[in-house]
Amino acid sequence: MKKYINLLSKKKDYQKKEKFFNLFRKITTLLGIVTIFILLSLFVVYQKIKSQHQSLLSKKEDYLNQLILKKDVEKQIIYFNEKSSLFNNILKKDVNFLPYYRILKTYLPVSTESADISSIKYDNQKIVEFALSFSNYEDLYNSLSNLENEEFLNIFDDLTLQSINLSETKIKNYQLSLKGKFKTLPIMEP
Amino acid sequence: MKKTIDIYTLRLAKENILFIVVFVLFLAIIIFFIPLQLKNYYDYQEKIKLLEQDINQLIKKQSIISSIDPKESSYLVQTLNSLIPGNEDYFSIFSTLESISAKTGFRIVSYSIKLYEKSKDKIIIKVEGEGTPDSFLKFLESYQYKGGRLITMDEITFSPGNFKTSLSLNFYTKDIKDLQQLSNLMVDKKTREKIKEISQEIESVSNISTAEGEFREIEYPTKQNPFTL
Repeated sequence: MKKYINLLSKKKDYQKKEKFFNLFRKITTLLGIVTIFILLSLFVVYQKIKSQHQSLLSKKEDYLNQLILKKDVEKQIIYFNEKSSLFNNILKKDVNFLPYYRILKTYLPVSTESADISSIKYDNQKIVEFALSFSNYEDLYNSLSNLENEEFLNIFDDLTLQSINLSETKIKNYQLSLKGKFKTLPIMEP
Repeated sequence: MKKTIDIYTLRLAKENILFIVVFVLFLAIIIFFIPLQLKNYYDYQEKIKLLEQDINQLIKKQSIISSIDPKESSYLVQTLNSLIPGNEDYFSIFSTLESISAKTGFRIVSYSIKLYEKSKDKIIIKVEGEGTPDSFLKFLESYQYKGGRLITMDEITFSPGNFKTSLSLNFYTKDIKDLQQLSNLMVDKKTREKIKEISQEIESVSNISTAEGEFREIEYPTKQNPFTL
């Protein structure tokens, strides 16, 4: 049997492959340029960021060294902050009676000088028990009707008239006993 | 059917072997090496960010420390240590009460201490006092810290009519050994001013008391036992 070689078709294939390798070479060159450019850029940026990191590290070290020299002052500040916050927290728990007593005296609806607070009990829950003494019945009567005075009631969250004592021994002594809870005042210095 | 590479392709591949190797190399660089470098870059950026934050904090800390006069801060710490001492000292309690009593005219006639109510940081003293309503009001103005110790009250029973008063007073101690490293070193200006003011008040009161003490020394014998009235 006789064999035939089709040289024309082989030539076409060869040209196709030649073109492919031509394109491949171009792509490889372009890829090389791009890769080298990226690598160079990365190298420059990396060196820059590394030196920035190094300079920040030495800056931090400098500040730390300076702070070590002032360690005692720093300790004092921390100590002051802790103790002063303790001081403020403790003071908040105090009864702080004076402003409440002054307000009570100001708004107390007693019309004459013959009446006054005879005793007062006050705790840090702002619960107050107080007794008013009167030397005559008329003052007691007038004050009793004044107890509903709005300004006076406004200083309490709650107020109860607990007892009225009308004892007439040697000295006439009339007493009103009240119990209530003060409204919280804005923080006032004693 | 077995596929074979023809002679031309093989020849072309051989001619372009350098390009093929370089292509694979660049591809490997793009796929493996560049992402690794980018990761390193971002890691460094993160480290720089943290370092900048640290440095800013250190600068802030340094400026706070520099703004504080060490003498003044030690003076304020001393005041706080006198108000809330590290260890309880009964003598300072009685001397505080005596100092307030002398300044206000509110006489303390008896003390009692419930030892079972005593805690590590707080001691409760029941006090009976006598004095005019004015002197009691002066006592109320002064008791919190003008005696040199921090005092708070839980309960007051006051009888203006017979001048008798009973009080439940709390004295505090606190030994701060382990200082917490605070990220915020900021000293509250208001608190600093308040403690400064208190220091000055205590100082002025103790000056008055000293002057009065010198005068009293001529009239009265000095107490040897603070528990006696």
